[in-house]
Amino acid sequence: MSNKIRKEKNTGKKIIALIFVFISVFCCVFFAARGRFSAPVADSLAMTIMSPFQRAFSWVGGKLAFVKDSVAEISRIHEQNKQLREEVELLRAQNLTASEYASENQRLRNLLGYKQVATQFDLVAASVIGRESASWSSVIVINRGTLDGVANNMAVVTELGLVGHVMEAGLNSSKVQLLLDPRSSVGTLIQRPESRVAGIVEGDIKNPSYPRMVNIPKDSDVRVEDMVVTSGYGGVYPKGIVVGKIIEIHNEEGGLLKYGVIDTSVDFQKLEDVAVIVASREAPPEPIQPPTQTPGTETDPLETAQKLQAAQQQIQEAQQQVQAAQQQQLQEAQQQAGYAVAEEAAQ
Amino acid sequence: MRIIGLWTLLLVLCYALQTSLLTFVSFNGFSANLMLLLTVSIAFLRGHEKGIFFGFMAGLLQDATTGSYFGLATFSYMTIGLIFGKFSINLFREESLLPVISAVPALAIHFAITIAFLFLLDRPIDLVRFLREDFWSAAIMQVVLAYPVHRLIVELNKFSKQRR
Repeated sequence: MSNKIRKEKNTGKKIIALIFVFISVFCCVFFAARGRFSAPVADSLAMTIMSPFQRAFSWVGGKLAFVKDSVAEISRIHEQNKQLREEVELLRAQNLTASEYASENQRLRNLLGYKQVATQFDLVAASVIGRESASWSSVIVINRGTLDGVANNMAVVTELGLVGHVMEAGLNSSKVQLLLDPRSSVGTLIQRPESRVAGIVEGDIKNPSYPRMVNIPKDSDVRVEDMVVTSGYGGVYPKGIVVGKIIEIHNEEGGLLKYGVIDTSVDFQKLEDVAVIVASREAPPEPIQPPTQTPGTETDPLETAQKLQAAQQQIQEAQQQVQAAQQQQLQEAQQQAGYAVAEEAAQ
Repeated sequence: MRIIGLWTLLLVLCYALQTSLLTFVSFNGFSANLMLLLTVSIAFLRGHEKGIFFGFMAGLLQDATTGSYFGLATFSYMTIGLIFGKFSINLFREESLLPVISAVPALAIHFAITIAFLFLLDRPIDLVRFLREDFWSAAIMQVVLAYPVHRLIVELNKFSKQRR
């Protein structure tokens, strides 16, 4: 019984102590907040006890943070490296595309230049989209057909010279038989004015890259380095298109004729853009050009005109002076005649 | 005496850990509060008297070192020790899920006491922002650390009983 009473007394004391502590701490907060209570000794003691542990944990934390930052940095660099690699790949692809466009641009510029020069032809630009690479035939496919005005037997050229003719025109593509094809035959002549020898250029099956100009009389004036152009005979190829130049001349087996091996002006291995001649007419007369002047004696047309004008003016002035002198002489003569009449009348 | 030293060492180490290493993992300026978790676990395992005492010591340590208002953490932890110590009578004390679940209400009580004091002291606080952003990030960290802290206290408690 006494134990129970003692226990109850202890519990009561504990509750009172607890309430006291709570109220004390509660008050402490307010006093501390108002600056009326501080425990500098307790603070410094607690901080002194805590600081070595805090320092140790901070060191560990710092190392862990360093590792975390390093991992993050490595990850970032890896990601950046991946992005840069992708960017390099993309830029390389773009560079290739740009080079391709530049090359195409150059070819089209050349073709456009030819189109502006060759005013006697109506040209349709086309791209080579296919090539038949059999040794016995040389045929390419272009991306223009009857819908674009292309028809069979139209001549196909580049700015460098003759390519061939359309052998089969489809709706939106056409087959072009090249000059190199053994079945091809083009009426040509030597461009040199003293020669103008006619012949036929045809593909050589033994030497597919170099066609031959055949049917040349043995005694005709044909030389190596002579330029060969289309003659216009036959109606397929307009006159005056460059075919190539003669690099070799050989005698035919019969002995009456000879043939020339031609180096074509068009590089058929690099054929990408061509033009189809859809219409041709007589070339307009070229504008009259001033004759070439001997070096050292060149004259300026403007200066010459000015000199001419000055000379004409001088001539006019001289004529006026002559007329004035003549009138003066006439008046003097009339006056003298008048005096004589008056003297005679006075006498 | 050794047991008291062991508990003291635990308190000091956990507080040092809380104020140094755990600050590297913080959300909106709030890092995990190990003192609160220790107080709740001890209150569950040893009853409200030990809970209040541990809360007093932990709060005193916190107020003496990093506390802004001396006595605020002490009062808060003591109250939490009292409340959760009272609950311990009718519960399985070593149930691990209990302190994990209790971590959130304990934190809510701690913040409620702190905010109440701040209001009484006429200190400005953005309560809406606090409830919307800060509280939940702090609560998640408390829940994550509640289980390992409670297991540590359970093992230490067993060790203490064996030694006694």
